[in-house]
Amino acid sequence: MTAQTSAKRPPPAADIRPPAARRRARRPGFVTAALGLPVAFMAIVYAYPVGAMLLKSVTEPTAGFGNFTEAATDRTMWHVLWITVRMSAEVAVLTVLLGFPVAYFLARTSKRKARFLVLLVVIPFWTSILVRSFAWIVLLGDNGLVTKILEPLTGDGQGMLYSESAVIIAMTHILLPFPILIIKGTLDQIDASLPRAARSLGAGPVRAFAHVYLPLAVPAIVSSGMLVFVIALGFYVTPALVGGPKQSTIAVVIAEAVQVNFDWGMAATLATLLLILATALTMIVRRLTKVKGLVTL
Amino acid sequence: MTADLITPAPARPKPPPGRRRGKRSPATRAERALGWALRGLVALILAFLVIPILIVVLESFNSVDYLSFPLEGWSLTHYREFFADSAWVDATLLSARIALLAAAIATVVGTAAAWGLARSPARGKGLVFALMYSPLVIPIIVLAMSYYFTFADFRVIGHWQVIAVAYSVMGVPYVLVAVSSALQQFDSELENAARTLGASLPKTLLRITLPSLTSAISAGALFAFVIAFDEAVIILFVSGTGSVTLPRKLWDSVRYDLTPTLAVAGTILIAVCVGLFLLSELIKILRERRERR
Repeated sequence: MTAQTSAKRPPPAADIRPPAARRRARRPGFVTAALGLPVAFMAIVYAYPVGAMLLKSVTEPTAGFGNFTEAATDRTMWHVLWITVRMSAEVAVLTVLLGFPVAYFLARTSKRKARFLVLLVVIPFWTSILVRSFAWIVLLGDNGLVTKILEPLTGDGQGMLYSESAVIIAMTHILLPFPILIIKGTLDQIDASLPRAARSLGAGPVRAFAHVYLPLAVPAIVSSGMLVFVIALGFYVTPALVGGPKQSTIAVVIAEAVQVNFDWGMAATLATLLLILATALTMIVRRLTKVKGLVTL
Repeated sequence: MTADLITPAPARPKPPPGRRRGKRSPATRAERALGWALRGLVALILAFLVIPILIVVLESFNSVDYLSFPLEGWSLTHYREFFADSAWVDATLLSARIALLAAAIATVVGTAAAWGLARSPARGKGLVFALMYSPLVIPIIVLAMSYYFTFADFRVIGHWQVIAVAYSVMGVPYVLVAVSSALQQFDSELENAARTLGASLPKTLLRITLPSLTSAISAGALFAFVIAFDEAVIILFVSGTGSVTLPRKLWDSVRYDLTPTLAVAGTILIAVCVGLFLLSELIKILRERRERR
């Protein structure tokens, strides 16, 4: 529509090159600017701070790898790493176990129903992690709903707040939408006629599921589990709020290094190690499964 | 209906001709039982996802001064307390201001990058994409440390404008992905046609390209806003005393005293984010409807 007004004006007579060539000649400048300015922006306000932080791990307080040897020889650091890895692994396994049935159901049910039910998954996903952690403080506290329900079983009215199970439950709740949405994305693309073909060739429903359907879903299951694991490794809010001192994860120790000990070098070192670990795991998952990351837009 | 939960049956599960129903019924019964078991399980898991959020909302209407469930009684006392307390109101307004600025920056940067990536023939596009996308996968505590050190080095801790700029980085990947996927649907020949007819490139972008990207851009902008509005880790290190945002205030209060006023703050965070999310869904549905017509 709007192009019509400009169409009345003839192209400049001097330029006798075909339109395509003119386009090519004029475009690069604009495209370069469209790419260059965002890149410059990200370099200054994103890459620089991260780079400066990485640098601090080997310059603060003195130059060298002192921080790294200090971290590696500190036994509590190894314990923190073990707790972080163990809790992340537990959360990853739980979210996948709970996520798969939901994803399977959503992929098989009618479009309309799926659309509504996906909202129930995505709305918690967009609710702040802080609020969801707070929700579990309410639920698991001494006056909480879960505590009251479990009272006949446990015998006392004590909440399970500030324990490992509390952290696991809250983190599972927070990260569960990831496997659901990722696995559903893959299941949606599985050709529905494949399990049917298996059935018609004489396989029972269980066998058709286990031998035909499930193997096609394995890459999504593995990659979503790994994604949850990587995200859980860096979790701060939930272990800090819902967990006790025994549930100190790497992130909690990093924050303490800055806020309590004012040890920038150690904080930077641990953050560097966490970044290396997370990046390495993410790249391995990418290589292995080629399932893209999750942005549901 | 239930049978296709187990075996994806054809769209309309009519019994195939030449097969007697009686022969199939045992399998169907087992399948039906499995189907109901699956439904029950899925309902439980979805309840696990949704109930904690509902509890926060319900708790904000509690009539007593401590957190308890079931509620002792219904009242709006804590909403009154919240809006009478200038600290809470200021924190909410500050969060909105920061999120607005962060979303605006992220939208411009992300949209420009998406268009540049789609039109650029240059190599190294993968690297640019990785730079723009990586804020999504970097552990947030690592980002928090990076900003804390840099803010401290440049003595800008507590400046809300700088915080907004830092937050915009986290919104860029969302805008980038949204606009990139919309650009894939967009026929670049339309741009060429406009150019051939004599329109300048800026004019083409403004009149041809941007109008067809508006819903993707607005979706990306909404997500960038939400990310900045309820960011709760970086702010713990960079807020100083001057920039107490709503999540920061909520965090501080959770550590000191647990009252239903916190549930009001939580409910506001939920309402803003879920409201904006539903808005973006609505935009999507309206666009689909328009396209079908």
